[in-house]
Amino acid sequence: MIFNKIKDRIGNYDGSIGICYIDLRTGNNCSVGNCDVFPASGMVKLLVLIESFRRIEEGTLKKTDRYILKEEDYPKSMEKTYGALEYLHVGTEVTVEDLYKLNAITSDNMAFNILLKLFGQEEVNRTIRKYGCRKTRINRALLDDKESARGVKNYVSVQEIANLLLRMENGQIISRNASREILSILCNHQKVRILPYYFGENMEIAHHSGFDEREIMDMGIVYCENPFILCMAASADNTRDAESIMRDITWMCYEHSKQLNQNRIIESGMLD
Amino acid sequence: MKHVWKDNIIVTNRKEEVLYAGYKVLPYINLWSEVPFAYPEGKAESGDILVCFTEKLLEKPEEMQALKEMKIFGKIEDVLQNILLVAYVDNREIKPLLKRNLTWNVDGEGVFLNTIYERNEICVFYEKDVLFFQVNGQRLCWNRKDTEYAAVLIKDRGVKYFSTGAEERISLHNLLDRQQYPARLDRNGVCGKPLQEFLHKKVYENVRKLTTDGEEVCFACNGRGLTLRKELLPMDGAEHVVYLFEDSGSIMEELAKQSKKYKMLTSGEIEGMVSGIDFNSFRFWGNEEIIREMGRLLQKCSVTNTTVLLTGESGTGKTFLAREIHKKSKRSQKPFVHVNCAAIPYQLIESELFGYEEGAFTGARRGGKKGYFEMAHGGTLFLDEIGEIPLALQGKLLEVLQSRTFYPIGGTQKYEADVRLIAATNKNLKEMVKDKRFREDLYYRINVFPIEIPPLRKRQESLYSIIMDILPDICNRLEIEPLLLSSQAFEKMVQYPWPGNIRELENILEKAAILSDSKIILPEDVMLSEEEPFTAKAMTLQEVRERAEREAIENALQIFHGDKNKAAHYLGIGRSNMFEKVKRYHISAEEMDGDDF
Repeated sequence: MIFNKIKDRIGNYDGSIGICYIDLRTGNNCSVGNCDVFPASGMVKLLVLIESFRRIEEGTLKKTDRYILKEEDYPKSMEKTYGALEYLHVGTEVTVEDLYKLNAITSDNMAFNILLKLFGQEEVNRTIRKYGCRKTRINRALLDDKESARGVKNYVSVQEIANLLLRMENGQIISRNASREILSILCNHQKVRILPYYFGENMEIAHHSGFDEREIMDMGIVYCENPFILCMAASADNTRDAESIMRDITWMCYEHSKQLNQNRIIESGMLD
Repeated sequence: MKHVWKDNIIVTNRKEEVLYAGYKVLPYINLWSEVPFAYPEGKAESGDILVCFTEKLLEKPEEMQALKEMKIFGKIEDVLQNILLVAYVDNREIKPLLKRNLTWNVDGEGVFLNTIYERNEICVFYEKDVLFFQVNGQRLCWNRKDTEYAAVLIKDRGVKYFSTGAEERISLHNLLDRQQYPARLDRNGVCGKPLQEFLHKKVYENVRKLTTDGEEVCFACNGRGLTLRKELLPMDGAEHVVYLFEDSGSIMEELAKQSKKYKMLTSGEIEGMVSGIDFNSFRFWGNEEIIREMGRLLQKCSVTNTTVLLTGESGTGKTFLAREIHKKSKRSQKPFVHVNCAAIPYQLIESELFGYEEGAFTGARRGGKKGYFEMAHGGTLFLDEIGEIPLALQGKLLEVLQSRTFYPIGGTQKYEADVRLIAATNKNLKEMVKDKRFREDLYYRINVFPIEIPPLRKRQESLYSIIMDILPDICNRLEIEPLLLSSQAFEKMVQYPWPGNIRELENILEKAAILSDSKIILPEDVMLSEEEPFTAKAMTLQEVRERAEREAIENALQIFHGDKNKAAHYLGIGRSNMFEKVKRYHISAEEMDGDDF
């Protein structure tokens, strides 16, 4: 039913869209759309967040390690960017924790680039590969006009990120504690245009989004009565339409999960 | 007995079941009812969601155009037929959902669409020949055979319009073309419906507040004011309740009206209405700080008997203001005596002010004469141009003001001086005191409540209002058709410094009204006195400095017949500096009348 509802909603969409829904109680899932892999935009920040925790867990990095902002860290690109770090002065001292939190919560491009430089992109790719990500890959830093002009892009797979989130919810990314902590950081992600849009502030949603000129995506876990994972990405000239579709699909999944929960309650009542 | 009900009422029985509802109450009904039964008149608007199904061809160019106009399709390449459309009206960004060439399984059931569009749950399905729309839990149905089209408009998640099948009163094209559709009220659907279900929640909450016969409640609904009245009506042996709905108009319009009034109040324009001073005179219109402060002072002083000293340039309206203070004072029913001290011969001022007894002096009128103080008894004495009162008389005036009594010339009987004194002058009395031309003690006696009236050049912001007030009066007086002032003429007047103040403005406008050949006063009709060297036009300090500099240089060069050395020396600047300034200000050789440039 949810599958058909989503299909009806995206029926007229004339771009690439990929949607993956997983019901966390039953593990039932469905994937809809005509695409799975998308240029990653801001979604790559989730990957360095995971790598940060791997290193902290491993003991090669401390949350309290200090980093002093250098001239070369600041974005050279003329492109408008997200975040706060670039507005701080050269020489500002920040901790590793500051960096990964800014990276994930405010989608800070400069924080991402600093962490990526510290870790090395291949190291990050190796870590996520361990968790089953084959198509999801970081190939360059953000706002790197030179590489971008050469056509180098980062990629995410909707399906792979959904699986990554499922593992995280199960406490299988790095460690149970690290998984919890990562999800708790993602609950504070500040871009609320898609997954959280129709919900009140009390609804916990651990998610990360990505917006670019032609790309729009939001992937996360909605902690309602019957929690679910919803990962959505779209690529088209008109991302506004995709945004509307994604909000509606989120609501559909929420209604569906509520229905599942009610059915479960009724069934358990009948069993009693 | 048959009742003829009004359109703006709802009649219920004691159980709050609706027996009758008029069309005018439809704007207040609940649009979320499970089975929609009514809607007020309206039209498709931006932000509505349209759900529409038709099996007729949508091939007429105007129908396609209507869809385009609604911004439902950016591009329509082919003829649409058998369409199911869900669209956001006036939103090119959020694309519609469109299904076409849908097939009906006549014997069975089927779902054409089941989804969420802009958070509206929409399900379109059929059972045999009946088409169902389920929209956010509201359900409508049509019989395929007698339906030209099925459509609903959703606003705020409630159905604001639904098509009705065979008896359709608006075509799909007209609906898409945003033409007005008439209100609909299914009387069968209404009868017996609980009032709580029938009315919008907010309206019903207010209905609940009405407990007794004849009680009323006013509240805002859909941006308009609504008055609800409850009346009990015994009918056919049972008691019924009538709710009367009175629309009190747009709240925004009322707000705008009140806001305008508020602005007028705060600008002092109608301050008098609430505080007792009527400033609705053109002469004191304006919202400048200076006027507001003056208004405040006048308001304070008018209600007391205190002596007021009005100062200001000639023509600023001191006399008018004195009259206004009198009119608003407790003495308004008593005389207002205006004495222009400058207009009375020097020797006569005393007798004019205090009067005289018979035989007081040679030429004294038989029976004596009442002075202005006596004439103003109980009222207000306005001593205009008080600076012109002879020094010798100032002492007597002071005495009167202090003792509140006076003796007429040649008289032995003391008279009470029950007057409120308002004095006015365009002179600087303080300077006159210094120069010993005005008694210091008198100065302090009359300077109890000084009010300075600003000159017109300091009230440029109010110039337009003042003109707009004076001009109709002038036209009226001249017995000519009302005239308008062209913007160019006004611009010309704004530039002028108005040395003669409002008096001059009145004269210039009167002249312009006489000269005007059309209904509009043109710039050439406005005859201003020769331009002043420095107009009232706002200039920056830099502009003022440059203008003065240029004039000083031109003047110096003229004095020295263009000899820049002498001119530079005269002005106390160097030769090269002079050269540079002459160049910067484009001072021509003719002006210099010399040969070394």
